[in-house]
Amino acid sequence: MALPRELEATFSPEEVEFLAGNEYTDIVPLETMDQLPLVSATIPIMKPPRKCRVPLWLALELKRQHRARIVPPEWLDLSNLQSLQEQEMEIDMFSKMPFRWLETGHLLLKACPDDIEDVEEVRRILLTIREARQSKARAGLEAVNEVQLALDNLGAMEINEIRPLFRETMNRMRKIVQVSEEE
Amino acid sequence: MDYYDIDGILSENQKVPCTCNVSIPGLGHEGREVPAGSKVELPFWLAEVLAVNSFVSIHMPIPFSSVVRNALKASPTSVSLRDICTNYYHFAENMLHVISDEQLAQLTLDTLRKRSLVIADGALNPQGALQQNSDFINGLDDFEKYLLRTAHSTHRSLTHWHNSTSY
Repeated sequence: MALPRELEATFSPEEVEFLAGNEYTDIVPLETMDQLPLVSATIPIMKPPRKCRVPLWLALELKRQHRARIVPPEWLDLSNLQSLQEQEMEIDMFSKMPFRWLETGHLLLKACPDDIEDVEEVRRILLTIREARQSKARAGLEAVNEVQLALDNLGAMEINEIRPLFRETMNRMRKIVQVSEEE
Repeated sequence: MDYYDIDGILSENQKVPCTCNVSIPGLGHEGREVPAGSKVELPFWLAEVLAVNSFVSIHMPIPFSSVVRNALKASPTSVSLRDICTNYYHFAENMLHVISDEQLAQLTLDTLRKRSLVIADGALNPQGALQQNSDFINGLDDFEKYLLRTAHSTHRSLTHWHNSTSY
């Protein structure tokens, strides 16, 4: 299948976001709902006000239909984010963020801002963390050689962003080294 | 895949200086014979085949002369690679097949590394980069231009996704 040139090298952000929808989140249902036998798991009977653990895509859909409220994940609360932000500013390496933090944060901020405390502050902090990591990633490109590049704790979306540039550069370097070692 | 790679084919068109070890018929002007010992400039695809059979010896072409090498060693980001050779990295790969030169390989790797940093920066804002750094952007060879284009399009789709509020 012929892909457009941009998609040949990497996923589109929408695809990465789609993959993030499979992570589990807590919701508080607003009405009673029957159990849902799905392919990968059976969603149990949902009775308010008991919390229920469902995949993110289902949580977003129920929220949109006003049948549930989403409980933000533990890492998305203000004090945790503030300490993560400080950590990000202090050290040169990437701080330990959840693997899909950028796309999950984006989805939740878009879909349920009313369920998150201090949502504007959270939005601002996420943006700051993202910019700090972006500049670190650019600086990390300096260490690239043809064998490996170690950038620990990068999120899924950030890896996706860097992938084309790194891949092409590393490929080209690998070819040059391969050819010069042949003799 | 490398056989059909258009950039590879184009890069093989680069002329290299050679000395004929034997006299070669048909190579000269209007099909005349070229006497042994004379210097000719042949496209790489021809020179490689002839050199494998020892009919010619290939000399170091201009893109890899010591003048260019010193310039690249001193400041890789201020050299205009395009003026030297439109497909520098491909051509380096081709030459390294024939000539074994560890220093050249190392130099090419370092050049690529340093220049890709500037390219990554430029990809975030090509308009601004063009105004500030137009010599560098105009001096990128084909591979680096491709890097710039892909890096920019990934960045653009990411920003577009990030700013989208529709749900």
